[in-house]
Amino acid sequence: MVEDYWGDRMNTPAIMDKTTRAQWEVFIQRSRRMEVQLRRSEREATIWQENTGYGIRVIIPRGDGAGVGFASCNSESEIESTAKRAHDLAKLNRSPFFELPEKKKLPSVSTVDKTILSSSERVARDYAEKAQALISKERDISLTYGKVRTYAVKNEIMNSRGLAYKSIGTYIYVEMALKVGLGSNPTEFWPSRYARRVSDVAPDKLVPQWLEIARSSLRRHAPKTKETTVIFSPSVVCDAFVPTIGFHASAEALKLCLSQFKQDEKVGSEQLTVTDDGLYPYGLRSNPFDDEGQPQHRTKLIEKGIFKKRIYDQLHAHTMRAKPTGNGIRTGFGVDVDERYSSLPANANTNLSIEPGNRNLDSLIEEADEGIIIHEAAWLNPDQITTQFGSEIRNAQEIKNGDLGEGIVGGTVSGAVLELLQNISGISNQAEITSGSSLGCVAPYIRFDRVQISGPT
Amino acid sequence: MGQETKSGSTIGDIQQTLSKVNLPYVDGLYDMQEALTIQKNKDRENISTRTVRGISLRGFSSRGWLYSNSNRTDLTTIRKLAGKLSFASGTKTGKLTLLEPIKLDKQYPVKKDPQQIMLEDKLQKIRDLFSLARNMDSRIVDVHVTYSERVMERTLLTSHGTWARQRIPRTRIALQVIVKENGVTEYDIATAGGTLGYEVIDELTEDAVRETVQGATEQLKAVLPPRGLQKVIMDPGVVGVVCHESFGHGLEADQALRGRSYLKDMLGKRVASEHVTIYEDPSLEGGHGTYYFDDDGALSRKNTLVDKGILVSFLHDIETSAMMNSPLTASSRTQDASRRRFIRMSNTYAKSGDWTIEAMIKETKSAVMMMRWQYGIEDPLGGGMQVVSKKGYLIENGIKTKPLKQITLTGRVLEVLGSVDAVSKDGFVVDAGNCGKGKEDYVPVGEGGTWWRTTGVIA
Repeated sequence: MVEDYWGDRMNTPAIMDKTTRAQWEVFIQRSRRMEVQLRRSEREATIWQENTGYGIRVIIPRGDGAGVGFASCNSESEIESTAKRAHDLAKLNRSPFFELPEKKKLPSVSTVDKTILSSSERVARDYAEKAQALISKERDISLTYGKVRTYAVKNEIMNSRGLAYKSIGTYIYVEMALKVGLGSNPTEFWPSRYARRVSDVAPDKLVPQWLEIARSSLRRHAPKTKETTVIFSPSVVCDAFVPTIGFHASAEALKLCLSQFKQDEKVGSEQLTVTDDGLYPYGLRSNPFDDEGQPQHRTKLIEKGIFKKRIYDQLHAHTMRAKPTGNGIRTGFGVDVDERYSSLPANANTNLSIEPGNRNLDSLIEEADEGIIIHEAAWLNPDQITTQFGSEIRNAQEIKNGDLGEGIVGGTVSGAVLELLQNISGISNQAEITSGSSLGCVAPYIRFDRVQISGPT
Repeated sequence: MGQETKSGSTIGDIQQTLSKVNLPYVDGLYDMQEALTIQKNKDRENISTRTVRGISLRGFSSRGWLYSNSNRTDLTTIRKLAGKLSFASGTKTGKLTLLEPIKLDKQYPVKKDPQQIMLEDKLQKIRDLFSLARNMDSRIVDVHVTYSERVMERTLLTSHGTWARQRIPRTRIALQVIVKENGVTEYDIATAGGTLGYEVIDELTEDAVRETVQGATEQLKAVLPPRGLQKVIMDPGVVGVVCHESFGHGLEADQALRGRSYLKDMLGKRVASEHVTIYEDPSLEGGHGTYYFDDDGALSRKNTLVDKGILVSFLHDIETSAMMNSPLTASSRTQDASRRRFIRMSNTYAKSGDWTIEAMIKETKSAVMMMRWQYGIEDPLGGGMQVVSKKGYLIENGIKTKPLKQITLTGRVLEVLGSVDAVSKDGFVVDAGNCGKGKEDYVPVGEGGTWWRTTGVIA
């Protein structure tokens, strides 16, 4: 069934060549999803899903610029009409001219969990049952709602310059809502995580970690208003850094006069080294080629606090006379990993990989006289341009005299991410592939000094 | 199945295939969405279209809801999807509210059908808006204009005889003006949208563009808001988001069934001050979340959620309505046929009061005024809330003084809503937004009200 569903049935290049004489590109995704949703000890819903989509871009040179049209559909029978629409849109549009990539040698990168590929339904069911069993052993914590979803996704890109690549990737998504406390005033720990392979989020590894954080909220209080030392968990780092460092390091941000990063200038603490790593093994945005067909790379963005290099997609590499870095990425608000075909490529990061430090998390905590470690923020969502953020603290713990204390729930953490980079005072020695509201980060715990916390007192 | 539809059509194929599935309740959703987006900034223009088709077959059994979804619409695929449901055939069903079947075929009327306007004309209008804003101030470094139109055509067939189709157009326009001075970059944004036609574009008048440019330049000298517990005056859009995150998400009855609602035992009790009345209305004319029937087949109706501070109703689908013995509220929705249906809001808004905004400011010694909502997020079990606005003002001794940068309001919903002590009679709006259930499954919604004054933690 898998092979049949994923099989090629139409000669897409022939259809495209017949429809337009302009430059064209077709990005195709075919996927299968299997999802189990949990309601306490029961199964609330089981969802089986197959999805196919075609994103077609046409570029017509005109004067010193070009017209660029993009149209997407999800039916093989509509490829021709969709290509015609993209061509018609390109005739109206005014954009800078750029070339689509030619075929090149591709790097190899690990993106597949063979178990998910061959048994996605069983993996989702087994994971859900194991998680339910582990949580049911708790006395003061219970599962109210959960999701486990597996994906097998085939990506394919082809263009008018003869480029034709395919890749396969797998994903697993886990989300658990844990009720903390039995009394009339419970709270919740509501984490989620994407991974490429089950072993990165194995239930016997991840669920106990989540339960430990949930237990820390059993005794809790709201924070006081003050500036203090704050440690961000890897998923909070992901939500802070991806929308901000990713944007300000892009060529597009420079072109639009919005980047706050200048080459060879200090942008953060000398402890901070960040690489855009499109080849990180099992990274969530790892792939041999980007979403325009350019080989993905490793690009060192920030080295010891100094901004070094920008990331480029085809458009900005051409208009700014630079080499493309494999950073033409299709993404968008609410667009899932297998729905990228419906978005135009944009100049964005792959995996932001933050170099681990030389101390473990316990040392980062011990060195802080007082502060807070934030495991989960409600929705950090920093402003891309100003990098300002303000988010409710959902699950945190106070640090007193170098020890972890009572849980902190409520109040707000706020600031500007690019200002926080200057205040890094410690980075843990282990990084993990992580996700929050954003995808594409390999992050350790990071400690920042002088972070604004606001509470009711 | 109810109305007969010709075999060979997608709807007919779904109808005939579902009739052979041996489950006590099954339904089929056939969803088509066509979207056009035009974006312009100083560097380039993006014009794109998106066509999405999909089928979602659903059955209910003692194993919970079963979905099988595909964006292939051929008969072989439909049969394969039905086969995925059939593995639960014959199992004892759970409890559902079985609706009176409806027969409906409705198209939402708009003043200017976007599909009748030439694309060239739309593009020219976007270019004109860009130029108008760009030339208003020398500190402007860029202007981003985004216009989008989407038509959703959705057909629902149920094993209990419903055959209903609705065609809902939605349009939005957004203008972001970005300014720079002395190394500081800031912006302001104006948006309009709803279940509307191309007339939405007329809402960005020259005055609205000028106000956005002034808002952006004013942000260059804005300061951070004072931190901690403060009196807060919220503009009508921010009030809408507060209503949405507090007694919208907090009242989704699926969360109550999961043991995940802090409001589960609060029906009939006081949950807000007497000044607070909140409605949830999928039948609201022009609202971004407006529809004729929900994705279970329940007809839209205006629901009162909170009446003068007393909790009146949760939001229900056909499962929670049966489990909690409550009337349906037409709140079952899905983003598209590739996802499951959840209990969701449509248009959530607060009733007007009897203050004027001028009097509210004048009679406030010290407060933070929140304007231009950006986003919010719910906390269904913990009863917390987070709402973020792009800008605001400081109120000092009854006068609006310094402009403020981004403002975050957090706090316990019962405390924030319990502290509302003034509601204005003027300024009523219902803004257009998109709402996720958690961080996924986005549906178009409306949210609004008039000006409120309350107390909350500001950062």
